[in-house]
Amino acid sequence: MPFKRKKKDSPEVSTASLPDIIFMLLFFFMTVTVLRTAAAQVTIELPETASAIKVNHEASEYNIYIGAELDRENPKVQINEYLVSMKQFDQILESISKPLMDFEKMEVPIYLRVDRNVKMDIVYDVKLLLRKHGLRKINYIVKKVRRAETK
Amino acid sequence: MRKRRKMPELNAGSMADIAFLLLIFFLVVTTIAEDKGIPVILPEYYDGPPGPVAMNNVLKILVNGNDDLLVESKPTEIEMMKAIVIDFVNNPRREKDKPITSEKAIISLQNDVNTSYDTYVKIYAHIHEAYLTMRNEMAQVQFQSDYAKLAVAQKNVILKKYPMKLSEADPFNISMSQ
Repeated sequence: MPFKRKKKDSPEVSTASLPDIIFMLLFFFMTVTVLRTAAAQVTIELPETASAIKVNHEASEYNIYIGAELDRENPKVQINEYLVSMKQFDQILESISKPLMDFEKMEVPIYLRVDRNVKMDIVYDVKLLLRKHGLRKINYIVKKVRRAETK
Repeated sequence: MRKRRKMPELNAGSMADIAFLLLIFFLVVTTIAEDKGIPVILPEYYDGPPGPVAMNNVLKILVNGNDDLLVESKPTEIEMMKAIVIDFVNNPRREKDKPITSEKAIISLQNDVNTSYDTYVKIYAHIHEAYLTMRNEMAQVQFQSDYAKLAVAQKNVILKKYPMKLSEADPFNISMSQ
């Protein structure tokens, strides 16, 4: 069957693919920017120190927040998006660490965001549980300020 | 030749503009949170009596519930901690009550249950900074480079000389023991 060659009016630059390119860019940026999904449900005012190192976030990380709930006195522990009691916290750590080999446990990054006014007893309990489960790679998130400004 | 009738075209040019607007919106809105932190490797869980340690190797830091500091039984300001730790670990004057070599130095931090996290982290940051400074100094002397830029093997040489040994005992309760 002979094909009839269609003749074009004029060679136009097709702009129809332009939006596609831009959309690709858009989707790229939307997927690449990792938003921290779990917001702190406890109020946290980070302590200020003069020295701190930049934190590289990883997908496998866990965020622990310790601070008082809104209009309440006692500090509460939050891991990722869950507000937990100490017993639940223990169980969650258990479920995290159980399937891992010892050297893998050391690779799990854990970020502690603790309110500056929280007392050390609860921080110590949290750290003790982390140690018990072999999750030892932690990071105290702080607010870095210049030396003269530290309160 | 019959001229083809033009189709009513959708103006795709403005689509690009719309997409651009969206793109710029996302670029502006997403703030990449730059967290700063102090990396820590917790000690292994150990439930038993502490091993014997020569007292001259230990720098004792006590913090009470009012966030007051006692270093080797002397009241101290937090800002002094970095200098104290460096002086203790390096022991430049070869004092008897300080470690003979830096790798033996242990820093013991004892908190009260009522010590605030703020004070704890500030002390921790000073100790951490002291060790970073000492490691950097050694890196400059031995390898003429910043510690952060060294290869793993070279870093290990320095880490062996300046391992940060921090012992944190259970927080005690002063009000209970009195």
